[in-house]
Amino acid sequence: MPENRMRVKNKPLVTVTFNTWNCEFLLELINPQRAVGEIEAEIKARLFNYEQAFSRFLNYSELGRLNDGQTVDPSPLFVKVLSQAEILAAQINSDYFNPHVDLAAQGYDKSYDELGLKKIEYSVRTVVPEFPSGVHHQDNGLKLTANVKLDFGSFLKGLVSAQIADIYAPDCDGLVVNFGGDLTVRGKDLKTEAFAIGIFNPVLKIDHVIKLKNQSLCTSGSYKRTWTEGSAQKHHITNPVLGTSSNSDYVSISFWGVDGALCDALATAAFNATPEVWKQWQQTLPNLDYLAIHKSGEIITSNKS
Amino acid sequence: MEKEQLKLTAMSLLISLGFFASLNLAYLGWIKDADTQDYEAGYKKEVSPKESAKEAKPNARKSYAS
Repeated sequence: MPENRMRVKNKPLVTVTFNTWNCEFLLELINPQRAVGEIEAEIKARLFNYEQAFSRFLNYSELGRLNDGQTVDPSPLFVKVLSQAEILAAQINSDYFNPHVDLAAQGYDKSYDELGLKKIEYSVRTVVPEFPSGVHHQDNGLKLTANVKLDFGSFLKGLVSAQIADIYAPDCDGLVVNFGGDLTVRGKDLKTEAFAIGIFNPVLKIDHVIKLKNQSLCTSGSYKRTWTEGSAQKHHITNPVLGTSSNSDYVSISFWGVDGALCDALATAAFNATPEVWKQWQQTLPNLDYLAIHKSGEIITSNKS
Repeated sequence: MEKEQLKLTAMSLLISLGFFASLNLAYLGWIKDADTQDYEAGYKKEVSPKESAKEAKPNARKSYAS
């Protein structure tokens, strides 16, 4: 009898999935010791709070009001993420990483579901200042320089996936937090120490499998969230210097390591850098690896295993 | 007398067999106690059938652009 009850109660693998922030959120728990429904509700509440603070598409969010030119008294959450952006800006050259890039000016001014394949005929180009010079700390709150915008989309999912993983790691033997392809693993898989994770190759339609142990893995790709502006094909990764869609021969770039926010930011920034620069990042920043997929389908990677 | 004893022995054997068979059935999960049923009801309440069906979804172990 006890064994029977244990079998039901301690289901070895539980997965929760739902859609949020216009992508899929997946949580895998190995031997969870808490009610899964409770964990799911907590995560949804947390993600809701993030969306209320950082969505570009909610004009009442803190970020939306800042981008609208208003002065905003920032929440502790906003201050924390802004600080994280400043840390990343210090680690990555502003030619490659800049939260001031303005995707809306390129026509990506609403959620991708609403944007669809609509053609944008007109857009306004603005000079993108170096981050965080466009953010002004005033007595009554934060304000942006006129016509300067903020967008934390290049690292937020990596940051949040790692944060959620850290919160729930003590409640199970292991877990995978996969936030729209940006994921973090903690603890152990069912039978092994490491988690085997596939990086999707959009050209060859195969997965390149790597092993992760208490790390985050983030992927950016020019094969998703594309639209047409006039006669030009655009995608959601912007070159901060040119102010247009990044022009890279690589269609997917992944970074993995201990810092989820950094991996996410680098996966995006790498579209504006050369493979020599990726190698430099990998050698100078701690515990980092990358895998990039060329438009031919071939890969280059720093992974030795 | 011997017949009576034989009958009694046979009945005892049958009762014992029935008892152990019930235990075995319960152990295998064919008979569930109230706690287990309550737990299962709670589990179904916590994770919807749609979500349960997605267990071990391949995308959970996949990194991709979104």
